[in-house]
Amino acid sequence: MMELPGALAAFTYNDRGALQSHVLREGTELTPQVLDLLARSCVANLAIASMEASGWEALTGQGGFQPLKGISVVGLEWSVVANGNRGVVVKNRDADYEAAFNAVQTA
Amino acid sequence: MHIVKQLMAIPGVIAAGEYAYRGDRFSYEGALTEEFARMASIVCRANTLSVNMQAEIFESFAENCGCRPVQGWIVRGSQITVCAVGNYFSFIENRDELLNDVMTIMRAKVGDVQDDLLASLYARLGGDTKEALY
Amino acid sequence: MSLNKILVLDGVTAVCRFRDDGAIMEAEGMLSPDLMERMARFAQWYRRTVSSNTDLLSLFSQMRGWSPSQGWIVQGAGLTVCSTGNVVCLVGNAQGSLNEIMRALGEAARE
Repeated sequence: MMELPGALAAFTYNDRGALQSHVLREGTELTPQVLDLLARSCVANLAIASMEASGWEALTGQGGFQPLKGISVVGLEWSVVANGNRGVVVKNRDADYEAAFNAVQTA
Repeated sequence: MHIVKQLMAIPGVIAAGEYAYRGDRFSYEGALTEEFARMASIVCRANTLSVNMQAEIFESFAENCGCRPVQGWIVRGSQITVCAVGNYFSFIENRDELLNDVMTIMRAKVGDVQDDLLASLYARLGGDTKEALY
Repeated sequence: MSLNKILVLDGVTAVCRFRDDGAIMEAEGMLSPDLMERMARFAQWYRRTVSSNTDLLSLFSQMRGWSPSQGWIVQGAGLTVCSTGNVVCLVGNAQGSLNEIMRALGEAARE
């Protein structure tokens, strides 16, 4: 995941969102503590997104959301892209969202 | 050209629009019914509020970490992706390179979302900013 | 109803009323100004999140009665934070009666 354009950090987390492993780009301001928070927010966002996906599909009859392939939060300078138990932080300037979503798909 | 029209001109964009923070004011173009657009507007508002809260929490641990103000979010489904920047949203097909193109256009056209985004974006659709936002 | 009426309830250690932008309107209790400010900000954002989630639930379940949300409770190992409307308080789990506290918060929020 660190080979993605603009990657600042890559991480994995357990189902409750606790940080399990991470790699940080040298010189980045991100810390393991921030990554742990980020991982927890990823789990929360994925849970909300899956609720929205199943609710939307049930109510509108429009398919195409499930199974969910991930979420991204776009900050001012960087974005996080996450799915399953992994996430990656990329610089907005260099972000390739499609490549990032592909990278966080579990094999 | 207006951002929604510009987005709709891209092949693979299913619908695009603008939403307000109570989910009660919205405008859109594309393959959504009025009711679905209202629902999309509520969903967008929920996600935007949620990620903004998280960004504020991050910042309390890492000042000027580059996450605030939040510019938007993406939910990638199996065949459809929803992306939101500021108070604009779009439903797009999962085609090669489409997400990057749409995000580039949305980020460029909407511009950097400023700090007081709730009040300002609400006002943009003609809402009363003094009114409670929930 | 003054916030003191909530503060005197068993288990309540701090209580505050916050504005839409998360700023404190009034505060009482044993919490440093910095922590009180953080609690108010957290409460305001959490209120928005809960309100969004109940909107979603009400939308997707097509069930009445969830929205607009009235308040929330987050219970930790030893402490609980609870809020109704724009009033939030911090409670020690061992002593407090949540029912009584939520009722009092509700009254304070309606003012």
